[in-house]
Amino acid sequence: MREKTNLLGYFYISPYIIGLLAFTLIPMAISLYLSFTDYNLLSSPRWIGGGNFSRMVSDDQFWQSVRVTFYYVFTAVPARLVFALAVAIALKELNFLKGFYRLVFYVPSLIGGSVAVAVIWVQLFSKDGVVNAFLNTLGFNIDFSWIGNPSTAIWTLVLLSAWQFGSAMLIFLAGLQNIPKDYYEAASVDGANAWRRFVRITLPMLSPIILFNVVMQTINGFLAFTPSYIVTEGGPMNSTLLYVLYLFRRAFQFSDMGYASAMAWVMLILISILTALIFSSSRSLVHYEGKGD
Amino acid sequence: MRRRFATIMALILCSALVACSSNKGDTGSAEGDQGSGSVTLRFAWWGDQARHDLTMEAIKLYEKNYPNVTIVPEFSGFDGYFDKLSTQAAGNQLPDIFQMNVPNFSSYAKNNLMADLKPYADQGKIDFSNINESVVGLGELNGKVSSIPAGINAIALVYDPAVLQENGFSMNDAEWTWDDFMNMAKSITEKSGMYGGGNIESVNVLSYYYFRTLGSGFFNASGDGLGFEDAQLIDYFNKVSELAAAKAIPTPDIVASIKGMEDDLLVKGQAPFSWRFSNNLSSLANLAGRPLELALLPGPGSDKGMMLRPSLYYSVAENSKQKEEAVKFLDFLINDLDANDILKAERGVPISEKVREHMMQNLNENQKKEFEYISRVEQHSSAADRPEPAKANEVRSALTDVLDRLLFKTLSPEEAATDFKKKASEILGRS
Amino acid sequence: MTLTKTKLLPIAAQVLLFAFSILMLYPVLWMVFSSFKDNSEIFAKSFSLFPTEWKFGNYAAGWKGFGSYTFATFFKNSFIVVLIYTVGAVLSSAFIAYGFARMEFAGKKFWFACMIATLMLPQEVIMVPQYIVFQWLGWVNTFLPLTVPSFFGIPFFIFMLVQFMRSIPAELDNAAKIDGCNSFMIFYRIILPLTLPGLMTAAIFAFYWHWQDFIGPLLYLSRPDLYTVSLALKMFSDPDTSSNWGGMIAMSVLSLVPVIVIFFCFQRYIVEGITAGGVKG
Repeated sequence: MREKTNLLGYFYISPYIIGLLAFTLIPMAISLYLSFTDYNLLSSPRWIGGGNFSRMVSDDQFWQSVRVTFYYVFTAVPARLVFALAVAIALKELNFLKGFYRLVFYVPSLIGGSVAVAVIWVQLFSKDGVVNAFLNTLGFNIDFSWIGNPSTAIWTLVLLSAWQFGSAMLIFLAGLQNIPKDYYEAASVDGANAWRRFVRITLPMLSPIILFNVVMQTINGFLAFTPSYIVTEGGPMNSTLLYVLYLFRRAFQFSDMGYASAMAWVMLILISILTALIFSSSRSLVHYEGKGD
Repeated sequence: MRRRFATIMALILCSALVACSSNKGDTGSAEGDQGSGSVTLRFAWWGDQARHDLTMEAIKLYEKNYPNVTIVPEFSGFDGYFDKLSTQAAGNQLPDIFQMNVPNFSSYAKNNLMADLKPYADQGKIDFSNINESVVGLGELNGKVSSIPAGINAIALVYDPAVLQENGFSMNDAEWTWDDFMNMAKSITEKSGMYGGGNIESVNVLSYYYFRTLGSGFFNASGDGLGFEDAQLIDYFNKVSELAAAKAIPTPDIVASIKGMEDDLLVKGQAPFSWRFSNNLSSLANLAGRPLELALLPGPGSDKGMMLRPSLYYSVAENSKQKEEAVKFLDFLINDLDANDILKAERGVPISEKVREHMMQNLNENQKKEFEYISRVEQHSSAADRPEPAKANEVRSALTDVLDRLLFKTLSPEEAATDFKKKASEILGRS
Repeated sequence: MTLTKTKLLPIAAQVLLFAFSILMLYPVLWMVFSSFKDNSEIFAKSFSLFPTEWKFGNYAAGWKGFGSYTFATFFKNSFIVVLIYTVGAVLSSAFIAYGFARMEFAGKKFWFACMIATLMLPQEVIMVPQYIVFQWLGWVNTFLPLTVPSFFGIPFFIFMLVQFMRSIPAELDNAAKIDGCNSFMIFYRIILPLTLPGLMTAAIFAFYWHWQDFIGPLLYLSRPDLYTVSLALKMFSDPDTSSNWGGMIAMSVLSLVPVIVIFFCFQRYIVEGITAGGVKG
């Protein structure tokens, strides 16, 4: 009996294992090897042991990129999730113009990664851009460029990320649809108000989805690349140098593939630890309706 | 549900069929001939719409003249071009002919990724007879001619003569000095509120010009260290800081929002100067909609400082399976008169004297100025620098960082120079 | 109670929501209106939303594309690649998610953890080794590297669908088993329909992620006649010469259309999926 379920289980996940091997594990093994080498892509890799890792410790730009990325994750991710959940709930209650709103809030995620949006974003936040014009009409007197200023540039990226909460919102919406209406009706009959219904029904029922979104958004936050690549190019003065951008730069601009691979493994370990932490703390918070784990 | 599932399955099958049929056999690799006599070459370049259109036209001309040759174009924008190229290099899949630029030349050449053109020239397969020896030398490293310049340019100051005149200045670029320039810049700033110095591209000025005027160079002769004195760099940083204090050059946040040529300060009428290369004149003048001129950079020592540079190179891949055919096509690109008429010197002034003479008749105003500037620089320059060390890109990136901090006033000129020297040593030490 | 409360709250919230949505849309509106402006006007007068003169030329100029390849080619390529990818991704991920969500087998935790781990790997780093693998397979300069891997499951979707499937009560499975269904029939008849919102969401994501992806096409497509729209758009802006912003913005707007259309179509399923469903409410 045991063997039968084993075989069956593996049957279903076999495509994944094959693909994993071919397209992920083998490249990952190669990249692990490369992290101990000096490899400039144009000639063969040269073994240098822990050289890349020791260089990382004293590399200012590396630590700068770590700082910037942590700041980014811990501001952009909560912002995104809060907006996504709030708007998803609002939309569920709404019946008027629902389709319109769903589309409107989702469009930013659709176009977010494009060059055109990046260019627009730069213009919006530049010295004589729309944002300043708007703030000036409100009475503030803003005389600098948000995007050109090292202390404010990162906020433009955080805003860009928060603007794209649509994808998380969609996932929350789908999850919200899954909550049976009779639970709410039963609760209302029992006298629960909106807030209690939210806390006692919505949140727990939604908790697997919330967990999913938290994990995914956090990971995506750490791996964010395109915004800083296109919009700010890591500047000004490396104030928006996200980790993966620095990695990419080292790999391709400076032909330093070995070091970049080392950086990738450091990030991998970091995210694993963080995710493990999130999962273990979720055990008490997350409620599974079906066959749980 | 069942029906939907069925339609989805049908979709997969159809699309899989379409994909397989439209792509089987489209390998486009550098594998040799399909049958005797017919040749396929892969040619890669970066550029904008205009360059793509012109290059495709030139390719069609070649294919008409040589019907057995098919040239497969692989073009893209500049962003990502070298990322892709280096990935192709790692897989031994470089295109038969590809565009190369100065910053990447050394690393590719040192790793033997580009074929030596000298033997082909000796056998007469590619004609260098109309090309100045020093120009051919621009693509030479360790005795091998690894690339040939597609065009020549030189560092230049594009300026608006009307603005200078309005403010009582005239341009005497053969004799002017940095002091003259600084006076001009500060004076124009005061009088007109513009950025009198324009957006000085210090990294280019320092890399390709400034230290040469002082008799040294950016990198040392052996390419494993910097080639200048700290004091010389501090001096330059002082000049820049002075201009920044007088508001004669834009602050970094303004510079950050200059994304394309149409944002250039000169084009927008916010500066009388644009620090560029000579082949940018046409684009700038067209965008500005008024006549602009080219000037040599300030001296003293500008005749030592100026040099002819490749605007970009053409190279033949060492892993190409039909180098001879590739070389023949290269010969066409640089020497054929019709081809160059089509290409309109868009990649820089042509390297062949004969081509230049031929084209002079058909040039527009701005192109004539570019050609004349190059002729002037030929007379008023010294030999080009040896090709740079492999990590030159990284060194320049460190310089950009340091300059930013200087202009954001978080570093003094002395500190900036020391910081840069330290970083550069660390980078070059790793090569 | 239900009537009065639901009317009061929404009104204030609705106004806020509407204002917020306009704010959200502003950059997009800006983009759409700019596509009708003359090149010189787009950035010079960025504050004004409406063009002084409506020009439709940007679309024609942009469509022309580069070096004899028009956007007709680019759109065709994008569609082929993205459709195959989406179908492969959704179906295979659902299949695999079922295995994780419903099957018990030795090493399950290990493989699940593996899957989560691969989510955290920056794509940019296995890029070069992956390229080497694909090149060894002879797939470079074809659409294969951009489509085939999706048929082996996409970890993100697997993870997401597992969560969805876990919220389906096990009693349904058991009931079906009693009726004599085998695992695949349970998958096909019960789990799949009830996960429809998840599937549709996954489809939408798969579509637009891949539609926008340009690193993949950048690396694996060297010939312009294979280029996708995302790659072609990047080519509009060259730092060394003047960029055709008008053309680029016009084509960007155009590239949005398929994504929005797909979204509209699948959007209905997310709602329908549940009300037509079965057990829940």
